[in-house]
Amino acid sequence: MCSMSPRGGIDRRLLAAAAAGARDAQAGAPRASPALAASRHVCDNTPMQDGFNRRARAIGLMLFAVYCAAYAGFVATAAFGTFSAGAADGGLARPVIAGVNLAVVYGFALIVGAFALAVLYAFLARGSDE
Amino acid sequence: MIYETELLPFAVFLAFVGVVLGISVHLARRAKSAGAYFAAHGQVGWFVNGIAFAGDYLSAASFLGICGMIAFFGYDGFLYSIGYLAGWIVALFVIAEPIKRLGRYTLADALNARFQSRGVKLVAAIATLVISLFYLVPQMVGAGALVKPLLGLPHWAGVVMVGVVVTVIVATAGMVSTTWVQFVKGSLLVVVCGVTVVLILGRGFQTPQAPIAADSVQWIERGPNGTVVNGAPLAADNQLDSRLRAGHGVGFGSIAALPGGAKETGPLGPFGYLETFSQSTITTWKKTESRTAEGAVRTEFTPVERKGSDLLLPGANPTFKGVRADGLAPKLDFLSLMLALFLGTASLPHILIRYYTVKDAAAARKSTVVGIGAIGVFYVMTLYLGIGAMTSGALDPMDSNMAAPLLSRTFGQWLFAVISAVAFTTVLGTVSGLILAGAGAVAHDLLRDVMRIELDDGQQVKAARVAAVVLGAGSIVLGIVCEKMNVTFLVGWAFNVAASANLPSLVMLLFWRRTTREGIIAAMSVGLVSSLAWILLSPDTLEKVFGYSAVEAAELTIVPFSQPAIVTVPLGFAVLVAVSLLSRPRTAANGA
Repeated sequence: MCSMSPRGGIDRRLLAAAAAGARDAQAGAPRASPALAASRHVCDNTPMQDGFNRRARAIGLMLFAVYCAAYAGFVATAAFGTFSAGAADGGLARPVIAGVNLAVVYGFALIVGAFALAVLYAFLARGSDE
Repeated sequence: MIYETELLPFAVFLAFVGVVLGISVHLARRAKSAGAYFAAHGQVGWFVNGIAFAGDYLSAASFLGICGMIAFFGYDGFLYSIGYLAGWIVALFVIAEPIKRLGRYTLADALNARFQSRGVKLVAAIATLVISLFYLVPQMVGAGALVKPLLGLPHWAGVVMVGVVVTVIVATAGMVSTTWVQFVKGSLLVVVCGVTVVLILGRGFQTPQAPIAADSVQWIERGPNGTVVNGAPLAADNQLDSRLRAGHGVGFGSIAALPGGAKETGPLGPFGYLETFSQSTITTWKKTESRTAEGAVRTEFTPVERKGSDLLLPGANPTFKGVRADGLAPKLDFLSLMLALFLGTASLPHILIRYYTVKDAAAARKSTVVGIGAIGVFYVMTLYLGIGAMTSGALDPMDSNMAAPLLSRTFGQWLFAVISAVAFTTVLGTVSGLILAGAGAVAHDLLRDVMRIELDDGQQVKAARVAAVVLGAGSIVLGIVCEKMNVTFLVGWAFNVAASANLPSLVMLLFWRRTTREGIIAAMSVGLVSSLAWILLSPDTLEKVFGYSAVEAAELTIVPFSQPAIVTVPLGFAVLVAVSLLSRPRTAANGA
């Protein structure tokens, strides 16, 4: 999951099919018939209706990889780096800021960091939808 | 602990319910079409949707469960806060925008966007119903558990009350009213918890009037001859707390020693609070249960002094104890749960359907940012609420879910009333989202697309309303039947099942062109069945649901640990890839 490549763009044909579905819906098509389903495959190469942006996608996946690494680091430190023979001897137990241990600081950082990355993403991907 | 009937919380709750029902009935006129009923016309503003995400997501398990777990075991509860919040990153960066573009009303819509397959719809609808059910039961049982201590009413009364209100909300105006309920609840929860945290920091820490001796054991015996506390019958002046036989000025959960031998700290800043706590010694209570010769259940509480710094580390709770053990095997439960929390959020149907309520992908993105902000602030506060409760001297050692309301009572009746009312509305907001997701799966996916029953727009809404009433009634029955079941851990399982059943298909559909409908059907079925089977056969279920002792459960179980995600999520991916590759030629022949 975390090793997913940012290059992996979204399947454009899938979006085309969805766009076709949305058009059917707007036209009041009651339900998908096999014939309709087949006709959607023909639509596979039509340009996408809502201008899906690869740049936003790539930025999103890059930020996702960053967060994945941070989260995995936390889980790994908790599981493998903090206790030996049942006693806390480092890792998350180490005091880092004002006597507060890494467990709390890392936990807060994961929460605040998620929001910071989300804001950054919204900023970088702005205007990509027109 | 004996709880008296409290009128103030009830009045505050009734006022909220009155406003919510008024809004619902008023909005019902606007929810006649399927687009309005299932997706609020897709016209909800991104900010409102963001806060509604918080209202949808922050369930009773988050509010009462996490605060209670921190109050009893320290840092372990906060692990849930971290995992639940981190899951939103998957939603934002991977799932949200494509889901918005691909689907119309339900999760099955998005999964089926390319295939127009009845099989995909069927499996996706079943997964939605199963996951929502897993999530629903603890909420309803939570409502019953809350009503008992807060209002002095029986369990079933709380379940029926919440069930009826939620059914009215969903059946009248669907997503339109659900959105507003969730918006109001989300804002209330964050604001009220914020006020409580400010009060906690303002109060700082104090030591009890007299130290609690290590041998001052408290016990309660419940059996055929009534309830006995510390040797005398249970009464208003003889309870487990009774300020621990007077003289201490506090009940369960208090500071034993502050740094420098101080008696009290006065107001503290957010970091100073945690720093002081980690340098203090805290009196916690070890619980042991046994059965007496007369057949009564005896629960004994022994004071144990623990260092604050140790309580701010994972592994004190039985669920997470493997973290402190040596070797990989005992840690698998912890690793698996953290994976399930991370991957489960973006696979929860009742969360994903909120993406259909905004107008476009940009609004979906912005509302997720707002949601992460609101939910993040709340989860940071859970640590303060939990530690505040742990040192408030006001814990009910028999019921960790009451930690947050009882903490608020130490600040006065009004805050208690508001927090209790907010706890009820917490259940309302989440349950309405769950019932709406279920109603959509039944009316839009199963009836219309799988069974191919001709339904026009209005009939689809009618069908969804009927489905909401049936699901509401069903949830009331389940909430009453499951009263005795230990249900707080069911939410963790809902995340496991959601991640196993939905995530592989969602991700591969978006990133792997060769995904076929057969691959999706197989992956969802295998993910759903394998995670459910694993959970049902796990030592945790055998012990907590079927009542076996820990030793018997360990002997009977055929799975090595209780949280399946670490096995069943990769299994889902593997099945999807294998079946897609095998079924590829047929799809290609169809002209793809």
